[in-house]
Amino acid sequence: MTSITTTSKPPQPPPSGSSIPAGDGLIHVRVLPPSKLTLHQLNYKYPLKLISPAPSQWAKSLTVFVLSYGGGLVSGDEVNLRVVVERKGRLCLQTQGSTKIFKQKDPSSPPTIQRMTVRIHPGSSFLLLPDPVQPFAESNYIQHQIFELEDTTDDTSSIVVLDWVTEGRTARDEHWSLKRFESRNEFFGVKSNDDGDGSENVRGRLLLRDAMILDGEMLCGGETLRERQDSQTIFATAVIRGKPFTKLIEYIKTRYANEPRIGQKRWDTDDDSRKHNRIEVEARNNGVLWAASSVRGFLLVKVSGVEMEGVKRFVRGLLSEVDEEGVPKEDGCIAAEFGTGMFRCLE
Amino acid sequence: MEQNTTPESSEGSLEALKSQIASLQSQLTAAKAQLQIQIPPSSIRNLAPSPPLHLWLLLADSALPIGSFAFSSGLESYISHRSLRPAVSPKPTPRTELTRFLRLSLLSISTTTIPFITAAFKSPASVLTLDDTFDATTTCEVARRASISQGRALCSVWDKSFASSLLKVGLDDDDGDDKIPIHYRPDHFGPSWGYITRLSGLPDTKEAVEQVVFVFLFNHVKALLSAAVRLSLIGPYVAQQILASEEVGRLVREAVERGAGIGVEEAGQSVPTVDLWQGRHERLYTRIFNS
Repeated sequence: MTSITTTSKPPQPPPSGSSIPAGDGLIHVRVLPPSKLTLHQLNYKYPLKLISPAPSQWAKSLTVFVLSYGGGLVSGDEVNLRVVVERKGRLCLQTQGSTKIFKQKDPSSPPTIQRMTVRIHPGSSFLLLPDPVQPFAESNYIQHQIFELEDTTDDTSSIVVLDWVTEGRTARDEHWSLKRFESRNEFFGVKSNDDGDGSENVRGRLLLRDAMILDGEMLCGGETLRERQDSQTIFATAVIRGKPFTKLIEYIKTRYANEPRIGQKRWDTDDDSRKHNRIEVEARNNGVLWAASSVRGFLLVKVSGVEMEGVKRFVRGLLSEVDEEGVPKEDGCIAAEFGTGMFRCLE
Repeated sequence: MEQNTTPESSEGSLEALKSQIASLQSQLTAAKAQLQIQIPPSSIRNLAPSPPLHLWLLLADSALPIGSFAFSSGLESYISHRSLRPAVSPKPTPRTELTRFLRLSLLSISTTTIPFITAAFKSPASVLTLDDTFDATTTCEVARRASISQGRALCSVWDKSFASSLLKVGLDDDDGDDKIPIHYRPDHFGPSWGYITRLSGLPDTKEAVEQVVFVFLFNHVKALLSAAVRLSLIGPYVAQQILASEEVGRLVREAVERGAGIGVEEAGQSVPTVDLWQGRHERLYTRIFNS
């Protein structure tokens, strides 16, 4: 899908998805012996659309594209996606272009809602690398993503999740002119159940919750949301956990530890001729700010920036473990686990 | 008095004065005696602050040993990032930078921490679950450390200093249903604040919850202003001026109100840049504060 259309959505329902409610979808990844990755189930109903390109023979993972008709969601649209990745499964979810959130029709109309629940069995990995969400002026959006990790003892239920949002349609002079934006990523530790079909069982302990709420209608001491965002046009959060990503986590921690100190003077040179290293120059030029936190078994990375390309390049660099020259590591964790071509949304 | 120096001729008036003094003295003695009798025990107690005021004076004391002076809640980092933030004109003064940060910080706390203070106050029996949820929700490493440090310190002060006189629940109302457990020790500042104020016997009313949150936020403002003085952004007089200003009063009240409408499950970061500044505090070349 080229996602150039921004005003209307084709009315036809999708061919698949017989009796499931509108906006519902299911992706179920199963590994058949000896080690064949299959899509056990793939259902969806308008306005949700799922596309799975046939994997090549040597593919390490399955990729599913999560799309919406017309490349965006209008007010009242409600997407409920359920994902199950069974033992030894490898699934990557991507999008094709940013998820555009159109304006709320009128104050009484319901918000746009996207929910996703992902069950990650022991020994399986899940990668969520979508394009950013782009809330248009006066949009009202709620996103709730739940990740259920079955093995948190040996950390073999592994995830890399990226969630990011931009300020809107800059060409139309939209800068955080949304009405409300809410994004919640919750990670639960759950007990595995043997039936393996992802049926509901008691949700376990909340391990991590990353929630961001932007209220465009509220003034804070006269400051609008746009002013409160401090000229940052994009906010990204990445959450990483699991054995296969140990090296990636170490890499990011090291980069953060080596991040140039703020306010540092180089005493070996004159103050006026202060030299900056490559990362600092790049961060300054692109206005990229970032911080990494190790929290309750997760690595959480927050990135913000003033322009899209800079942030994309930066996040891609982090996730592909680039060296000092900016060359991605050939056997980086994500490439090793899922195969190549995973960074399409960050290109 | 100076009667001794009075000349001989005024012998009569001297006698009169002497008797006057004697009568006045007896009046004074009587009045003094009356004074001691007339103050009933109840009004002596009234000279001491009423229980909530007493509690608030203790908890709002800047000498409360919970180490709040060691934290700037991101202010130090915010100021240090001045050069990395996009330039605005006119160039903000240190004072306007401070008041802006104050507003953003209060907004951020009102949507992240206040729901948990309120919940811990209202349902003290589930404070440990709330504490765990808050721990899972506070994703900024620097903010976590600051919160845990002050929360644990508050519980220590409670145990070592306050509990013996302030503990007002679980003593005489031991009748089952609404029994409040008194032995929990939550880690984080917000949950322990709500829990401990509840243990102090405040009733579960809207007014009481508002007071609990108000004092928490006012303490936060005091800590920020104190940090600002030590960062040389403002002087101590201006700090008190800001603290006394109507604007700060309004901001705190607005934050109280905003937080009251948010449930624990709806809590979240409303100023994403605050997490970044605070998270990057570790990357400062020099720092005075722990957050």
